[in-house]
Amino acid sequence: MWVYEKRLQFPVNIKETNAKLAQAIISQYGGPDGESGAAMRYLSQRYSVKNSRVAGILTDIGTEELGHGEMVCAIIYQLTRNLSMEEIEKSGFDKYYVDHTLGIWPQAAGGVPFNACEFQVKGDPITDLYEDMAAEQKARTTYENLLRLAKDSPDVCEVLKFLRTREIVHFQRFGESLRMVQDDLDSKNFYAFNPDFDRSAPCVDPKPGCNKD
Amino acid sequence: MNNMNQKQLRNYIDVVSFALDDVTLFLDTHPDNQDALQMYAGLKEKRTQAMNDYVRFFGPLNRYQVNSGNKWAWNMGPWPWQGEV
Ligand SMILES: [Fe+2]
Repeated sequence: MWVYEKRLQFPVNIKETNAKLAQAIISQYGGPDGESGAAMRYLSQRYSVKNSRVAGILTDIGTEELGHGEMVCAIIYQLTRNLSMEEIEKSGFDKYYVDHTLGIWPQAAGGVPFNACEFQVKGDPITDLYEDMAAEQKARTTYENLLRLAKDSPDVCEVLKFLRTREIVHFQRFGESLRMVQDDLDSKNFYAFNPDFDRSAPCVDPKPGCNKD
Repeated sequence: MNNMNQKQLRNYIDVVSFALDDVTLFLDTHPDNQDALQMYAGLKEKRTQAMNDYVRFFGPLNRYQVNSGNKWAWNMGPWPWQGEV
């Protein structure tokens, strides 16, 4: 069960109006490596995870990513709230405006709608945790690209820098999670074995990936 | 709440919390309704007390309630999606 707290994890206070920048930053809400995909990826993966601590890490990071989605939306909202019709036309925001006015809709910077394929659930904690580590790196790179585009907007940069740092922390925690799952394995099953599934599957002949405990 | 076991206390928290969820929605659209305001206040009191008891005897229900001691117990199962244990 979730409970909403009326606060952001890190404050967002932007005075300027910049629709062009908002259109780039929206990728971190609904784009391929955005916060919505991250939140749903971890919160969906956790159900079948047998390592309790790792299920908890997925829950906690997934929850934090929901909060990051809110922060990204706060940036977009504040950058666009005072847009004039003239600025909408000049900044290239007109195409987005036609369908969403100043509402916030999950899409990538290039206009591609949010897609559930952005999050993967393979049901194998090793596979999923590698996916998660890669996802955190991709999100970090995206924030770095955004920081280059936002160099003249210090208020925006502050928030993007905070979010970028969290991707690094998440990468580290997922790396440790992977280690925790691998510590449960032994030399016979270290490769080619799904610890959330294979233990309960019938084992035909002794081969790598076959745990007979 | 004194004599409740873990399952009973959790169930009590579920019931009181759901009542709070529902009265919250009602108050969101009826902010002056005195009956609902009173109901909210009573339920909030009950939930706070039950939560305090639960945390003390059975452990945290959210990440801000952990009494850590010398080993972190937050991300330990069972998890709610696993059903009854
Ligand atoms: Fe992240």
